[in-house]
Amino acid sequence: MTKPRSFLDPKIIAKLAHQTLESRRAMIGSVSGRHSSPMRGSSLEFAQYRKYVPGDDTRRLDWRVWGRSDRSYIKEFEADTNLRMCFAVDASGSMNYCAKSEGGTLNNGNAESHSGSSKLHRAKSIAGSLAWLAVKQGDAVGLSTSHPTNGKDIPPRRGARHLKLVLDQLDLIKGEGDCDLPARLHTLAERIPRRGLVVIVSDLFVDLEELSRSLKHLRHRKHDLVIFHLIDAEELNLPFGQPMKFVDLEGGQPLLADPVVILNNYHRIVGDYLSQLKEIVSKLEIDYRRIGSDQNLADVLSSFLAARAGSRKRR
Amino acid sequence: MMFLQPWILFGLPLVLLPIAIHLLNQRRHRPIDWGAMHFLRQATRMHQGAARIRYWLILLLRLLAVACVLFFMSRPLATGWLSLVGNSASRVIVVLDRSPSMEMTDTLNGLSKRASAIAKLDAMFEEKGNRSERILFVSPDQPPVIVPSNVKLADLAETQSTDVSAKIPELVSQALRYIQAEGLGPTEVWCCSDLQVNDWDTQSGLWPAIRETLAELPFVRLTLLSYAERDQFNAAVRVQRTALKRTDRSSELLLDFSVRQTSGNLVSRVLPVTIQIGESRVVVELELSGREVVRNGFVVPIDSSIESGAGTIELPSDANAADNNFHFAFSRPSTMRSLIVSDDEKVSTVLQIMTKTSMSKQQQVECELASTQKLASLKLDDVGLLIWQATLPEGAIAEQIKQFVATGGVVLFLPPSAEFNAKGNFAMFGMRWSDWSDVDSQDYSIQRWRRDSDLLRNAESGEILPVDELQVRRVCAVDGIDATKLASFSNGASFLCKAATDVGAVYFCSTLPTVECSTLADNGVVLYAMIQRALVEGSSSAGGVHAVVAGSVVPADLEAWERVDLGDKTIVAADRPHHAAAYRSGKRWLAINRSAGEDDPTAVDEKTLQSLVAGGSTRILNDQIESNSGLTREVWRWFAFAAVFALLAEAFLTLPNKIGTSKAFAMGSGPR
Repeated sequence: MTKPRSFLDPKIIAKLAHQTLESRRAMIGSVSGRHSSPMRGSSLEFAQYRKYVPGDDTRRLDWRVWGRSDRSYIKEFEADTNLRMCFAVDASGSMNYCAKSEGGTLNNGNAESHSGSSKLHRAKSIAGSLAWLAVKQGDAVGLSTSHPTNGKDIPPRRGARHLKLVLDQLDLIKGEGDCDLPARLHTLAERIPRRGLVVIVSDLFVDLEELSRSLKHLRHRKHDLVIFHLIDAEELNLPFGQPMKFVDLEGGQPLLADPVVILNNYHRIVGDYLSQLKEIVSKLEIDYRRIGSDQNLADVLSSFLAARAGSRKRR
Repeated sequence: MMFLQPWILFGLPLVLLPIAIHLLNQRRHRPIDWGAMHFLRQATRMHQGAARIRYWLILLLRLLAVACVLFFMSRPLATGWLSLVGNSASRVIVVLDRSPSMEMTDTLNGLSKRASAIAKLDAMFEEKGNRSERILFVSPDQPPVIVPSNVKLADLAETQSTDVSAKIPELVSQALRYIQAEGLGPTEVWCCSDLQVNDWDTQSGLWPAIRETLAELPFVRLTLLSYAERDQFNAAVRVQRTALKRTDRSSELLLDFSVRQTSGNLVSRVLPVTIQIGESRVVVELELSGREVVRNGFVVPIDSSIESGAGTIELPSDANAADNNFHFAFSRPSTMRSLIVSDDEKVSTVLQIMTKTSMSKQQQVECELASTQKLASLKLDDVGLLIWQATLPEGAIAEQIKQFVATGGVVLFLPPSAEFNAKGNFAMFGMRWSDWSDVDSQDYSIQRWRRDSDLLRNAESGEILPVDELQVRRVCAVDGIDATKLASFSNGASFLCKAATDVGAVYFCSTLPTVECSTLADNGVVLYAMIQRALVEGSSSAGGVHAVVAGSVVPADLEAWERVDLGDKTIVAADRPHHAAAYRSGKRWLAINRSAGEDDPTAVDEKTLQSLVAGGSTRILNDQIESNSGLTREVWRWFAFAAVFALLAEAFLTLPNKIGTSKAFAMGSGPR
């Protein structure tokens, strides 16, 4: 009997079941699908007229125009293709962070016991749910985990069997060590052969300069980019009223600090970070979603899908 | 600083409590797993400088608060200068200046400098619980007084005022010798004085010895409690000379007196000066302007039947009552005797002529001549004037001359003749003769001499002595300090000078009345006036009238004397030599007064003072009479205030005043 996957919430799946995942850019897929393509094809959507040149398929001649004007025009239609979707999931130690308000302070060395509310768990949930949806509508799904040691790339493919492979891999991910997301994105940009949708699920505790370069690389390869930024309100606001010992989830030296004293500086640094991030995502036209621990994932994903469905497709 | 409950100070290690708590607290920091370490490290780094200062400041304030609480509970005693002076010694020696200048009184609290110092010392001893052994030094002639623990210094007869100048070097030296002789341990020496130069005698040879002793006794701390202020108006009166003169119908007393301002700020005002002789009283208005006003030959008419007597001259009340009176005695001149000691016949002949020729026919004059060749001792009984024209004496004869001067006698020293006397190198009254030299009369004309008083003063008719007509051919210069030039040559060298003495008079003339040396003999008038005036001055004391300085006579000499002045202060027999008063014994009269130096307001400056007592553990405390601050007082309040301040400052620094000052970040679809 198949082991139930804790990160796949039936409520989320149920809510997403009637929605579709749309690409905001033209995709180059391997088979016909529901996404627009930069190629001309045989869909019902008229694209343009062009003059007949010898060698064109005569079946595409618009005979009515020839009959009226004695000129030969070829009638072209848009092509529909499937989507290559690849998830980049951050599996660094900081993704083990669990909001104090939900799971209490973690310092027992056992992140698994609180995996129900950690950022990594939510990342798995997002990736798993969207992968299920994509496979359901015939799109190809791949997975890349940003981890220096246990990172594994699964190239995008279609089919329920491949979905199982992706979900199995998601299940195996454990958060530990430093984050090497920018390097992983560079690799991904090179490995995905044609245009696709790259979904990044991370807390983005990385050097923004490096992140910016890696995102530019992806955009240069014409990929559509989505970022699910998993960061907790506590991490943004540092709402502690007493000196504390902060234990680095990525394995660095612990730090004794009085949040009250450093609060202003902390807010200034976080503010600068968010401004810089905003500039990057705006400039690269990235679909950015910041998700906190207090937000309902079903709602977040539902609104994400609805927004994409409503956006204009560009070829 | 000392403590009334010193055992509490054993808790001083508790000062380290905040550090221990801090270290423990660091272990008790609540741990939290944290992902956004990048932000945290940056924020901590940005805040590190200010936070570190604030952190150390908070820790320091906590240490301070605990220390202050401990100090405040141990009830510290400090001096009035906030514990600048330690007071841990078990023995305290008090050297007290009881001179008249210490009677300068504050108009508000009515306390004199002496009384203020004693009151503050008493208060200090009382606050210390009278646990210290107290030893009092007030006079070099008296043994130290060991003060019983239940007796206040103010109640002791030994701490009351006198008219004797304090001999501070002798007193301090005596106190240090006592410490050495008794082998005392840690000792506080408190020297209370107004730093008057007359009392401190900065030229005294004892100071080097005092410095050496202080350096040898590191456990002795010398504290100078000084009252050098002289802001309030004060004047002192002094009689220089008395002479009883009989006219055809009545008698009159001629008085030379001076009034001197001793306050720091000079003012001009009219003072009523009262002269009291017996029952009769004369008041004269004296306009005081400048430092000193001298009135010579003031005539006081008296009964013609009075042959001798005593009186008092008095100033109105001012800041110091101790120098407002001056007693004097007078008598009708009897036979005026003089003694000439000379080996030079030419000189002695001239001097004899000048001496034997009396200014008044009624006055009998006798003159005796002696040679140094056969001189074993001097017969100075009833002698008024001694003229010494020979090598300056030494040994017994020198002592005899000093005693003669101390009883009011007058000595005129003339230089020894080169052909009769060896020059010698002896000094008398701080003066010594130099070598003879031939001089040009033009360069050595006398242009400046003192015409208002002393031997070369103008005649009563106002006529000027022809001092400027004198011609000097040979000069034997006189060397010395502290001499007053009565006449000087045009090049500044002294012709006639007067050595500094409290009573009597000592004159040095730098030439001889011979043809080879000067025209003193040919001119005659000047030399005659000089000798006759010196004779009259000296004979006033020789004729049964004595004027002495307080402290210079022994009590036994005054037992049979009857006090005749109208002073209201009762003086016990043993203290008579130390207090100004007028006495009578048969036909003899005695006036005891403060020394002339007491009227000199000059105080030892702090630099000189520090150099005098350098080498040991010495502190100088400048106090004021009107100051109400005690020498010691409980200062626990200051420590309580300091503790409260430290705690408040600590609370302020640890206030979480920065919470909520920054805007919180919200979640959402886009970066905010």
